Amino acid sequence: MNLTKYIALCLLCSGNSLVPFAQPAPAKPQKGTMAISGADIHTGNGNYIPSGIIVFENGKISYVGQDRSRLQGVDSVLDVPGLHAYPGFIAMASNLGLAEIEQVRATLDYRELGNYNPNIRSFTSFNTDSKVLPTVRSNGVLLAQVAPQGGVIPGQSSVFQLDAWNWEDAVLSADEGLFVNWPNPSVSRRQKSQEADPENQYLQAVRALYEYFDHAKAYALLPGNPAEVHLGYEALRKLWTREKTLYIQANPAKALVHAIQFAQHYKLRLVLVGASDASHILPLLKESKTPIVLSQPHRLPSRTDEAVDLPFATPSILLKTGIPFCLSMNGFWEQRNLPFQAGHCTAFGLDYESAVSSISLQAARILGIDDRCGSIETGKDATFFLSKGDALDMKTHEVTHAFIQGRSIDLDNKHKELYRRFRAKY
Amino acid sequence: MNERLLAFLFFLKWAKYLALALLFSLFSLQAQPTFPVNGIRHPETASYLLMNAEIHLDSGTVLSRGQLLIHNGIIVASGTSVQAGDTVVRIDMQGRFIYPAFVEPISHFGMPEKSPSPTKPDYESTRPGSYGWNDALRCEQSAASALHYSDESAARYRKAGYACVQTHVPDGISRGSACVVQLYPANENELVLNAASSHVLHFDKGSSSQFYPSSLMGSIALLRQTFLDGIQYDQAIRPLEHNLSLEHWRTLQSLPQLFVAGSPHNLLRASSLLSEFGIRGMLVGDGREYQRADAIRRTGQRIIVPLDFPEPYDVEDPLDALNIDLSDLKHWELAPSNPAILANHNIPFVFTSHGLSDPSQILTSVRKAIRRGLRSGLALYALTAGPASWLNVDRHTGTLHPGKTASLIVTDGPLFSDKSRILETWVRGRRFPVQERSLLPVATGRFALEIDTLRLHGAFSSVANKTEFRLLYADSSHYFLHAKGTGYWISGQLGRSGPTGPFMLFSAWKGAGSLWNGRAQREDGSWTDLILRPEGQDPPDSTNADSTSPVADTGTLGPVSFPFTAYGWSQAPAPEHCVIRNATVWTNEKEGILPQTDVWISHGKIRAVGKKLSAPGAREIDGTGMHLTSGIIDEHSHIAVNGGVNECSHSNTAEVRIADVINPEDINIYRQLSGGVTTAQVLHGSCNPIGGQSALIKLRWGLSSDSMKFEGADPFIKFALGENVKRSGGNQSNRFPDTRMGVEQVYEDAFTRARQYDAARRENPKSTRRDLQLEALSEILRKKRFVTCHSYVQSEINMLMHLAQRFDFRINTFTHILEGYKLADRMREHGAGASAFADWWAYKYEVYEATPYNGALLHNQGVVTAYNSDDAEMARRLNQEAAKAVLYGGVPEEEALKFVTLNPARLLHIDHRVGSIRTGKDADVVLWSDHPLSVRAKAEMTFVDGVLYFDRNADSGLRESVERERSRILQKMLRAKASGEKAQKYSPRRKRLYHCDSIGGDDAAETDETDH
Repeated sequence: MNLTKYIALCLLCSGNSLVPFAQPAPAKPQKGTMAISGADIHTGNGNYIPSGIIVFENGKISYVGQDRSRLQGVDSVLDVPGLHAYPGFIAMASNLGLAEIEQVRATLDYRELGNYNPNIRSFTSFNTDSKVLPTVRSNGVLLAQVAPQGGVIPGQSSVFQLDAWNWEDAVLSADEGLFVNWPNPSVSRRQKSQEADPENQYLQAVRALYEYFDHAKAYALLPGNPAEVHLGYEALRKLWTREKTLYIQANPAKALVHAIQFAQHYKLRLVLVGASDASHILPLLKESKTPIVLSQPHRLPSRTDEAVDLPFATPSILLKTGIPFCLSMNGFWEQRNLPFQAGHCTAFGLDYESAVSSISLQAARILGIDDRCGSIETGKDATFFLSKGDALDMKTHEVTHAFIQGRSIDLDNKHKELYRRFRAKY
Repeated sequence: MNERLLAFLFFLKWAKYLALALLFSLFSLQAQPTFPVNGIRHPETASYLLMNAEIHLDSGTVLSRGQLLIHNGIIVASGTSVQAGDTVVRIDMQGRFIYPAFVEPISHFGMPEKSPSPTKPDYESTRPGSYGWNDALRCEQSAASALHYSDESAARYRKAGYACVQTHVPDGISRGSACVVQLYPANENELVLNAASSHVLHFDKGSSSQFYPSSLMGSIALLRQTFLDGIQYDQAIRPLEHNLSLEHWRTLQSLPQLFVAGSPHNLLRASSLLSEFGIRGMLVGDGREYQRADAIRRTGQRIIVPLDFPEPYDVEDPLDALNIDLSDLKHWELAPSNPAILANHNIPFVFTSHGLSDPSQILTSVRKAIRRGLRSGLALYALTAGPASWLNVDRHTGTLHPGKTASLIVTDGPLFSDKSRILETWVRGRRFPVQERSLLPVATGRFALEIDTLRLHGAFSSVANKTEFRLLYADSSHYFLHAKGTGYWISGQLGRSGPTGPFMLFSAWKGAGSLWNGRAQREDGSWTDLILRPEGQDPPDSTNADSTSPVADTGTLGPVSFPFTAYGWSQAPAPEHCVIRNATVWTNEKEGILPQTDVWISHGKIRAVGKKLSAPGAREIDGTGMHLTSGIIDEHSHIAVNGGVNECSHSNTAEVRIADVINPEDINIYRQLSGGVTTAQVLHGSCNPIGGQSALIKLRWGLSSDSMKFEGADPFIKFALGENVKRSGGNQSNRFPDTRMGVEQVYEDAFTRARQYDAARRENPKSTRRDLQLEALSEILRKKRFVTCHSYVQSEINMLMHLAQRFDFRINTFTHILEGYKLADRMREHGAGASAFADWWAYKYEVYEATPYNGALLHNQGVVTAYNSDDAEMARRLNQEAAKAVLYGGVPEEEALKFVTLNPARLLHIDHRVGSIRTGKDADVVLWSDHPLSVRAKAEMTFVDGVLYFDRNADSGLRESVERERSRILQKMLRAKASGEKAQKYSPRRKRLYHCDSIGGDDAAETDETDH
């Protein structure tokens, strides 16, 4: 084992350096082979390997298991008995890297003007230098789907890893999805008093979506190059071939049903985002095999009469019904709490490894990147982290090392730096 | 000779009527004696004798074949053998019923159109005149001077049985004086029965363009100060300023105070406010009074009850029905029981038709209420003599005894039986037909129509006052006939079925005998005669059967639960006598964490802590493998509030009180109990440097707002610094201050004035105006009230500590305090505590320097540190937030748990009562399924004062009963709709969750602002 390398690595990771904080530099590509030895591995696909070994080479995992002989010839071995290994967690449907300070408009880049913006894309605006990113990845969230927000069609999402020089080396999957905000069918009293026929307004809004998609589909079927290019319709092209996913954000049961009918009508690859009412339409979800990016467990029940813990229990309900889902959270800086939201659900019927999976492999599957990411499995990117204790529990969560594509990333962040500075003051 | 003298002589013939005649002469004075007449005066001298009716003189006196003698609008005699000469018009009311006409206590009859609410609020009053500072005080308004008689509106009331209404200008918090008006076309002078019948108050500021008050608690504060100012006007205000509003206000204080309050809780709020000034008033409710009948009874106030029972909801789509709250379902079922429940509680009440889309629906509602057990005598009283007496017009109306105005209704059956209809309404002797049918004869029976050689068979029917003649089935397949009319006269068309169209127009009328004659005109223009010849019996009268008996009226009714929402109690819970055995007990005392320990609870207190306790008679609860902690205390909460948490209008609103607006119906109370929260400080928002006074509540789910308050706790007030008070987030930045520099001066000014005020009050208590805002601030100076200050950056925190020191007081708690770590040493020296978020940041510029290690740094410097929620969702898992003190900075677990238990108790000065597990302390404890800092820990049982307010086992039973109750009522609604009741679409009430920066009331915004 290369001892100097190990010590250097530890220093880097422990965040005890007294050097003032600057954005940590992205780690250099992994060269050669490295192994983690002795960690309890939560692979993300439901498996648990106690005292296991992960060997990775040039950014890819070459071995996961318990065979210690595989440590032979590895350039460096990190012996970490008692530590837990997890696949890098994935923040879904977030605006990470598009927002820096919620109330300072100049720092916000996730909401474009207009209601129909399919050609708008997060891809080229993802800010790798956001001070928020290091605070998120230091809690094990290493990948993120980043999507525009607002309007009826906010635009297209991309998937990034959170340690990069710019969006080019950050991106894992560019323009992989189109986000649609389904209109809200429930009519509030306020609307009722203000608008002539709010119910009809909902139907009109839905009809407008159908019309937009009808036109876009007709446009896509035009032979040759269209005489006049329509950027909006162009952005929908890959939906028709199911190369791009349609993410429909909706929560009320009725909207979910309508959204599924919509996707079925156009034969699109649909993912529902939010779906807080999922437990009311389980048979339809199961029959249509619609995957769900479930809205955050840490929300209040949607209705006064609902069970007080329904949001915590919904993941286990979906799991038992056999509906594929992953968890998500609102916001950007909040994403560092993603592991704990999954952890909380384990007290409400979700088994532990499924909870891990719900923020790793299940998300990767929905994103269509599960061939490369989402679990600690041979052949996949070496994107995982180590924690001293249970990483889904804030009481024991303590990330010591994190790797993205085999690169050992710097876990320092602005918050640790402030801590160092003021601990030194007193 | 004038008419009065004639009448006098006429009556003099009967000596026994002498007394009455004197009385009568008083009333028969010519209307409007001061008005000149353009032309010839035509005095009205109508005298009637109504005979042979069942006359209800009042709710307890009935004449079975009675007579009423009416002269010039006044009842001069009633009885069974009233004598009258030939000079009266006799009306045979055989088979009719006569009751006093109704009196409507709440209306806007004849008032000007409401002016639209302003879009952009002003700081100052824009009114000319030496009025008071706030335009929502419209004390000078007088309904009598605004009154403009509208016969269209009057007719709607008369149709419903009303002869007079109280009306007021519906604008302002003080709406000035109301007046009682009679409903017949005449000059307003003649109509007004009581020109100043009450002073009307309301929580809604109306059309005032001023920003203040912008919340319910602001309205209450403004009223409270105005009541005081009215009392101290002469001595403490008049020497310095003339104030027309207050002068009017003082006049209004001699009238009955009528508060249009609304919901049961607003009703209780209005009552508390009036009681502070020893006033017993009249309060207008919203028909939900049964939900808090006990509390309302205890107020001793009189209640005006609306009867706008909800229609059933359209529940055929189960996904739509999901959105209907159980409380709305239950209210639909129980609303008709409201009057009977109030009566059973001996609450004095009268009825109003206010809120009904048409006043004529009132009878239908009253009948429903009677079928739910309301005595009909009480119902009649609540429509007639009750309101008349409350409005001080019982000398004139409300009963039919001699001397009263002849304001009465005539019905064709007993008033409260379903099929009875009001046929006539008399207002001061003026007769207004409601059903034409009662005045014109009605055609009935089968007839043969003979015209030329044709002979067709048909029958008469009558709907309301319309007469219709229709062909019977055999003929109607070959011919069509449309003929309608009134009384003994019809006209219409007769034709052969098919495409050839009408071939004859005709009219027909009843002749002297039983035959009808008529004339018809053929297509070619020629005329012919026709005859209707009677043949046979009436067909069964289906048209008269406008049955109003609602199907949903029978069968079982759900219980009134407390609160009136899902998961409410059907029966009040009692304190447990129990012992929790063998749990890991986090004492928060020097004993630390005790494994396998028992905790004995009785009479709301912790009776003993120890091993193998002997607890005779106590329920045994096995705590093996579980953890017991003291209840979570949320130092910063905005749940359980009605009508807004921010009185955002002024920089200093120290006078407003969250305690005035606690809402015990908030489901978040129950949800937070499920997360182990037992006490919460409900704070004013952070909109202004000096916000309102806080309320400390225990989460006693189901109790009234007063009973939720933490008894004897020190009073606190909310301050705020930084971006929120500068209004950086919004565009209404025209309110001072706009910089942190200005924020300091707001305090400097406020405390300078408070100091001077305090001295002046001591020196000249009578001539110094008692000012509730300055009083609250001087309490801070006198260390009787304590400050919780919303704060973020170090400069402002430092500033405020310096300022407090200059005024010789201490900032008790800095809340949010995300940069507290930068001056933890200074805070410790000052003696300020910290109540922060565990890991929030980046939501605004002033928190860009926040770090989750803040808590650890503060704690390590010896600052009493707490973590709070400021968020209804997060409050359910504050134990997890406490665990973040372990994650970020390695605070020992035992200390971390104190961040949400003992430390907030210390910050709130209640650690002698709660915050740790010690014998003698309040039994506010939580039994957790797991290590309380673990993400997997669930509160299995949450006790407050020894009452098991949340029990996870019982909760699953409650869920089932919520489901059962929902489906029971949904089924009932489906049946109601199927039986022909009109169903309404449901639109969910959006329940507003408040945060620090939430502006406006319950319905102010579709979505929440999530600023903090």
